[in-house]
Amino acid sequence: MVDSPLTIAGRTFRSRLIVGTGKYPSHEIMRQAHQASGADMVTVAVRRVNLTDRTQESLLDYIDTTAITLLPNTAGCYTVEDAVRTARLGREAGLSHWVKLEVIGDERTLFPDNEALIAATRILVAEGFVVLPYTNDDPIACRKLEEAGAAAVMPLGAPIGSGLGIQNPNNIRIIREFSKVPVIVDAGVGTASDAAFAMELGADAVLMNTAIAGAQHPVAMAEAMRHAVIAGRLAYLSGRIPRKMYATASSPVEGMVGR
Amino acid sequence: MKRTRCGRAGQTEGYNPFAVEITLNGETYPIEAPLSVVELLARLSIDPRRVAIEHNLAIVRRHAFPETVVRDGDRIEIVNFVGGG
Repeated sequence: MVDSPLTIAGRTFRSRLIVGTGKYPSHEIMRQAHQASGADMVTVAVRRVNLTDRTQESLLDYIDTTAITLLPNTAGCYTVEDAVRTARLGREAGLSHWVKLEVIGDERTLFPDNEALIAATRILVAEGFVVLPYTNDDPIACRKLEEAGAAAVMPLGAPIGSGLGIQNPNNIRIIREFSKVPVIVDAGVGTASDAAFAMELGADAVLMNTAIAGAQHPVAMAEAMRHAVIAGRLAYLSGRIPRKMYATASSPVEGMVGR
Repeated sequence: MKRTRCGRAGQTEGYNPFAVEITLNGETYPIEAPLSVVELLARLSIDPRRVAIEHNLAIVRRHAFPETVVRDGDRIEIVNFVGGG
């Protein structure tokens, strides 16, 4: 089956899997995991340079930026002002106007503050950013983000780093139905079946960090996720059978020996 | 040359009338005299190609690093990319 590639704001991607760069056991394992995942977009965080220890290796030494698009995030921002400020710094550091916009509303759940998220989206879109907002799995919030100019919407599957899998599949399905922009399920994936499930629901892509970086074997898990996203996408496009309450035989019922 | 900025109270010996104090990534950071962003990065052994700079809440574009001068009381943020999701 021929599928059209993932296209966000006019840019096409080979992979429908977007991965993070945080929490890996080492930069080298991260590099191998990225390769195994097949992802051609990775998220990065914007933080103060360590001024006392200049011996630390740069993350960018382990990312082939000729093949992989960097997506700076605004993780850890709790206000519109901080998110916008961080996005601007990320644009300057990466020389790219793409941003994964996070405006967090609560420390324990890391759930987004929708109101602030929409306001920050509006500001950054006006400044020429391609804004990919991390949002609640709320179809109305996603619609408002799209109206504010978001280039994609990124509803969570479950809280960040929780590994709980897709908690509200029907909302993801409805968001897909409502949205004209790509829908990227961001956060909550725990294992490969979660990623496949997100894709089967119609997600255009899946973004994950901890599920790979925190696995006992990150490189192998990255490969599993690559397959899962491809499998889920194909299954979505293939049109699954309807669910039925009882069995329907797969083998002919006629011609049975001895009957 | 007349200096308009006054020295700090109690400072006499070794007092440098050109000395300035900036806030660098949230910490107080003394320097001998105003200097450009390029000079500041060189002093900190930071590769200018991999960082973004904020000067008193305004982004400093990379091409403006040489002519942007850091003065007494300025707030500088130097950021780079780290691992994140």
